[in-house]
Parts: sequence; C-alpha cells; structure tokens
Amino acid sequence: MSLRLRGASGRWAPRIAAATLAAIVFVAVAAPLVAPYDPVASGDLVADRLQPPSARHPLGTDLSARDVASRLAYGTRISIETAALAAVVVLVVGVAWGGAAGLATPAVDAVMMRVVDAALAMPRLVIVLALVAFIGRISPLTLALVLGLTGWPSMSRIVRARVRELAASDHVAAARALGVPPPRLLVRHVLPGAAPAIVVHVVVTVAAVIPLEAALSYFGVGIAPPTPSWGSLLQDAAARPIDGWWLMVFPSLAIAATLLSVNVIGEYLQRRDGAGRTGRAA
Amino acid sequence: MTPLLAVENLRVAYLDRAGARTAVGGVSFAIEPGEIVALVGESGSGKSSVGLAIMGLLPDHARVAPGGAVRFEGRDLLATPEPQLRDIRGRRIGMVFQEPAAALNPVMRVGDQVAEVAIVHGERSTAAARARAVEMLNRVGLPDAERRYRAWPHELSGGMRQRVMLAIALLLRPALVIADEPTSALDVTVQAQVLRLLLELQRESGTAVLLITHDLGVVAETCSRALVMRGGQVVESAAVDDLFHAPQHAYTRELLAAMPRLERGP
Amino acid sequence: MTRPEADTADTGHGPLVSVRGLRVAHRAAGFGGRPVTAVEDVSFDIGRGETFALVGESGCGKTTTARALLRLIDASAGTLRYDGRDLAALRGEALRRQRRRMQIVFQDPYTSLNPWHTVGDIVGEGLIVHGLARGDAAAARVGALLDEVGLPRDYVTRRPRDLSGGERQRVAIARALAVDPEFLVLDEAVSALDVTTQAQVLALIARLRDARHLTCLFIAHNLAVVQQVATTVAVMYRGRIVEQAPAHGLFARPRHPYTRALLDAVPVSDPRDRHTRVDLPPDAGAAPEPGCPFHPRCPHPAKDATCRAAAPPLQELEPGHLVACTKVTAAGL
Repeated sequence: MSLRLRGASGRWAPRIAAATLAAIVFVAVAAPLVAPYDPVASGDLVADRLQPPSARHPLGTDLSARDVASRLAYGTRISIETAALAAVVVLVVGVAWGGAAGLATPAVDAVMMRVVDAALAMPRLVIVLALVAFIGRISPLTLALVLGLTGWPSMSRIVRARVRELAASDHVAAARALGVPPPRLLVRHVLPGAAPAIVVHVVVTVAAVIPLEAALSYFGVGIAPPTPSWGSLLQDAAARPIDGWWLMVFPSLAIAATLLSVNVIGEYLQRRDGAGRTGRAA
Repeated sequence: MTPLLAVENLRVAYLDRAGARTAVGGVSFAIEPGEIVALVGESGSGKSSVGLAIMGLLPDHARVAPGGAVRFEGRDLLATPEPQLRDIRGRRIGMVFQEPAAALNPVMRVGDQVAEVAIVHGERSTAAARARAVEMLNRVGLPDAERRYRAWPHELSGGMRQRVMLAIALLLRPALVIADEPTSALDVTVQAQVLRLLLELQRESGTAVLLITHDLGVVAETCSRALVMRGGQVVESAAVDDLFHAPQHAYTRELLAAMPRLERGP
Repeated sequence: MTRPEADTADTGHGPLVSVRGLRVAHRAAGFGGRPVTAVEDVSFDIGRGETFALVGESGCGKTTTARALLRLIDASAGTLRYDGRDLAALRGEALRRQRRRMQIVFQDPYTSLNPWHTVGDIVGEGLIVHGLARGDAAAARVGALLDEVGLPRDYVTRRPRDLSGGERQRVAIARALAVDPEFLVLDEAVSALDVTTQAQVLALIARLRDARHLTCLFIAHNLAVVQQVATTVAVMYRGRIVEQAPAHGLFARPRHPYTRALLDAVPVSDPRDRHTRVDLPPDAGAAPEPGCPFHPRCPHPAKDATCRAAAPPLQELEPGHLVACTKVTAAGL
C-alpha cells in the first residue's frame, strides 16, 4: 500500500515540479516579453505609488511606483541567471578538479583533496561579506562567480569519490587495457557513471544558491538596487509588510515554488540513480 | 517408511512489474531420513527457490501457488504459521548458505552466534549454551575454537566462516539440513574439507541433507541421489551412480558432457 | 579441442612474454595499512603460441601478476619484457600502442562491460582509439567480430543488461579481439558462467586462439578447465610459483605437496571414483617469514626445520618441470 502511494507521488510530483520550473525559466528567459512595464522606471509617483493588484498592475506597484509584475519577471531573470551561472561554475570547476583528483596518483590526489578541505573550511558568507566590504555592492555576474567559486569543493568531492569507485571497476580497467587515452577515458568511460551524482549535486547547488542570493540581497549586500532580484524585491517589501502585502507575497511565492520544484526533481533523480546502480542483475 | 520431507507439486512465482514469473512449476520429491539428496541445476533453474520455499524464507514478492504441500515430520510447512516455522527452523531444519559472509551477523562474535541458536530454542543457561557452542566449533574443526569463539566474522577466512555456519546449522542435531551452494564461494581445497565435514557430521547425527548446487562434481563427491532441475521443473531424478552412468534426460546428458573433468595421473 | 604445442623449434627470437623477479606490494586498505605483498619473486616465460596457465586459490596472486604484466597496476620490483622490450619503461603514447598487442578478458561479465554503452560502442572502442577504422568500416568490423564470437549482428544496439552472462562474455572477447592482439590474458574468463555456457565459451576461446594464433595467459582456479586448454601450467601459492611444468607433466606427475593437495581436492567426476583425501590443515594465516610459504600446512612426510628456515627456490627437476620444494628436489636429483 505504502509502495503504491509512493509510486503515485513518485510519478506525478516530478512532473508537476518540472512544469513549474519550466514556467519559471520561461518567465526568466522571456522577461522583456512578459513584463508589461519597464522594471526600473518609476510611474507617476503620486497616482501609482504602492497600488494593490489591479487590472493595470496585476501584482500591484511598489513605493517607487514601479510595476511589481515587471520587476518580478526581471527579478526572476536575474535570480535564475545568477543561480544557473553559479551552478555552471560549480559544475565545470568541481568536475574538472574532482575528476582529475580521482584519476591522479595517490600523492597528487591527497594534495588536491587538501585544497578542497581548505576551500570547504572557508565560510561562504564570510567570503561574500568580505568581498562586498572590499568592492562595494556587486553585480549579478560577480555574485554568481563568488557563489560558484565557493561551491565547487563539495562537487569535486562527490565527483572524486565516484570517479575513484568507477576507476577501480573492471570495465574501466578493460578500457585502460584497450589503450583508451586518459581524456577519453574520463569523458566516455568514467563520467557517464558519475553523471547522475553530478546532476543531483547541480540541483542541490541551485537549491542552495537561490535562497543565498535572496538572503544576501535582502540584507542589502547582494545585488545592488535598482536591479531587481528576488532578494532585492523582498528588501523593498520589508518597509511595508502590512499595507504593501503584495510586495512580499509574490516574490516569496516565486522563491518557494522554485525551491520546492528543484528539490522534488533532485530527490527524484537521486532515487532513480540509486535504482539504476542497484539494478545490476538482468 | 514415511519420508522425512515430501514436497508435493510445489509451484513458486515471483511478482514483478510485468506480472507473475514462474520460478518453480510443480516440483515433487521426497527425502528419507539420513539421506543426502542433490538438487542440481544452472542459474535460473529454480533450485534455490525450492530451498527457500521449504524453509518459508521466500522474499515478499514471491507467491506459492495453492495446491502444493511441503510435508515435514507430519505437517505441511506451507500451511504452518510463521511462529511455529521459526521454531522448526534452526531446531529441526538447519540451513547453510553460499555466502557465509552475508549469512553471519557482522557485529556479533561468531561463538555467540552459535550459542544463540541454543538460546532461542530454549536453552536457559548462557554458560551451557556457550559450552555447547565451543564444543560444536571444535567439532567442525575451527582451529583454536576456544579463542576464535570471540572472533568477529570478518576476522575469519571464508572456509572458517563456513565451518561456523555448519556449527550453527548442526548444533541442535536437526533432522534436515538445507545447504544452498555451501561450497561454491570456497577454494577447492577448502571445499573438499567442508564437504567432508558435512558428510562426517551427517553420518554421526543421522541428519538428512538437501544439497542445492550447480556443481556436478560436488554431487558425484557427496550425494546418494540427485534431482536435476531446469526451467522450474525436475527433469530427472535418479540414484547418483545411475545419473552419471545412465542419464535418461537429454539435459542431464548435456550437463554431464559440459562438466569439466580432470584426468588424473597414474 | 586441439592443444597447440609450444613452438620452440623455429622462433629464434625468444619468448613473447618474459617475467623476471616480479614483486607487487600494495598498501592494505584503511588507515595506516601496512604494505601487503601480493606477488613475490615470480618469473616465467610464455613462448609464442603457448597457452600458459596460472592456477591457484583466491588471493594467491595470479590475477595481480596478470594485471602487473598488462601495466594495469604497478610492479614494485622485477622486469617485464614483451617481445624483448621492457614494458615498465613504456610511457604515454608508446604504452598505448603496446596495449593493442595485449588484451584481457575479465572474470565477471557483469562488471567488465560498461553498462552505459551499447555492444557496438564496447566492441568498437578499440577500433576508434587506435584509429583502425571509423564510420561504416568500423561498423562492418564490429559486425564481423560479432559473427566471430557467435553473436547475432543486431546485438550492436543492445546494452549489457539485456544480455545473458555467456553473451556478455562473448562481447568481452570481441572487444579484446577488435584490436587484433597477439597476446590475450583470460582472467578466470569462464569461471562465472554456468557449466553448459562455460563449455561453449571455452570452446570458442580455444577455436579463436587456434584461428588467430594467439598466445594466451590463462588464469583459473578450476584445474579441470586448465587441463583442457593449457600447454604449460604454473601453480601459485601465497604470491609465489611453487611448481611449473608442461601441462601433461604437471597433471600426470604433480610434484609439489601443494599441487598434489590441490589436484587431490578437485571433486571427482564420477561417483565411483570417490576416495579418501590427504588431510590438509585449514589455512590459518600467513606462514612466518622467512620459511616456505606452504610449510604450516604441508603434509610432506619429510617436512622439517629447514622448511622454516628459507623459502625454497624453483629448481628444475626434469626439463621444463620446476618445483620449489627442497624435499622434492632433493629426492629427485
């Protein structure tokens, strides 16, 4: 019985999550087409200031008389871009470093992993705050790079462990005996086996970066105004939590829906990877 | 004489996504007290499922079809509820599996695992249970049994672990031992020792043995009678000597032809 | 099954494979693991066309020897020569080119085939990485290889999980043969298979060996299987070769006490041949250095203190028949 229930949610939850995420990504990509107004330009500061949702402004307006729907669309774009870019940095650096360490000689591997340990020991928030103190408010691109460059060590650990495991397997030994050169060995024979774990960790990275960006921007140390992001939208809302409820609610919903979808998809991928790895016998 | 074990029209199917897959399709045979019977077959023949069905240890997704019976000492094991089956297992039916590493509890000292059999089947005194365990470990030829009583399974070689399994299976002098590929994971010199030990203990205590194996050499070496299984059916049942010298079924002949034979020197 | 005789008459350029004083030690798993010697002072030659068998029980070092020979793991000491060239000196591209000449088939066809690749990918990989064929030509070669190992050509699109154990092992053989090797290591290549499948794959291996004039290193624990294919047999015990002889000599007149015990332990193939066996004590851990590795279990009647004093060297008892037991060689010389 419990098995059947899990089977049903196992089938539908990931689909709904994927559809939600697709919609959010669509808004991000098509922000200029979706947004009815300029996200940065103010409207009539007297007539259009802090208006609740209406036909003209479906998600209301903010204290600067800007259209919230437009700011949310562009904010989605900035937040998703930041998360995606950070994930790409984590993916590229983490896989390259972890893959190299996994195939390296024990001595080189040990040195590479100590570097990872050191990187993991540095608290992310402190690095970001130090950077902000050093260069002032930062652009979405810089933030993405910072989050990516502080996120790769855990990825490289996961990749290295899986690569070590696969490198010891007979089918990789067979490929080595066949004379497959190292780059091809990594790309064709080792990484496909590590791919599920990598994908899962990319999802985890996205799920970690989105709230981090939101938190940083909310506290005013992330993406600088007037550029909208989910975090900076929430910061705008913080001034008027009661009579400007729509300022808080819609960005919060966007963040919650994204995180929920990403986590459901991540869990689904993890489960599938587990099933794939144990399903050895024909 | 009534047989010790009578398996009648045993049918086992495994449920999976595609539906039910028959593993055992109507198998009947009997084992007399003290007899050593081989159940021979290749992988997928259903031989292990027969053993598991007799012991009531089939996995959850397996189904035994109604209409069959496994009669043992006057009762149908298929119709016996689990609490009574637990009492029969270990006391009246002993079990030895292929992988002693998997069948032994990795976080319990091997001697305690032997003693536990006595305790769960009614031995009140821990000291008496321990003494019986040490005696049995000596009997199965575990070198330095007194000291190895306190060893963990991973500290023993494969052969020694299988000796411990034999001690567990035979401690309470069961009427029947079901041994599923008991020597397949062992090296050939260790296999010879474990098989000889099984035979000695069997002779001593009059235990009947159902030896499930893929290895015709093991059959030739130890058994008095053999059942050849293929595709869930018993295709031939014969005294071992007849089976090797006058095989009736084409599949038995194929198996014998494929069997690697060592030509020994003078 | 025909048994190719070792071609000693007209070679004139020495053995194809020559191993001298091979030692492989690796660090035991876990924190502070001490080095464990898996292979110690192993030497042998494999002549062209020979099928040299390494036999022994699990952990005796036979697989480690083969993997060191193929440069899949590093040797700690000793020399490995292939066709007169020092294998240990090969690096990078030179080693990669050498790999074309020596191939391997592993024991477990469930782990030795990449589960994410199709049969076509697996068999064609060697053709691609050595630039032997591409595109349609590669596909045709893969098809011909599948014919050769007795698999239907439409298997190219299947994945290992869709195949039986015997079929997978045929794929592994096709992968090894794709690069036209002259030397093939068969590491327990039929051990994991059902007996009827085992006989078929063994026959296939023997046929391919004869047709392609392969030199083979055949690793197995099943002596009956070895007897069917080997020209020369070396018996290993705890990392050392204890006896080596032409196959017929070894099976007809085993000399080392361990070889005798090993042959004696093989189950009979006829219930009428049941016999009482030599009682070999259980293996209770490594022998104390520096003695003969077998002496704690040795049933030889003349066993004495000298067996504990030094590991006996391999000595030639008869032409080609080497035994590492001072008691046997003393009696035989």
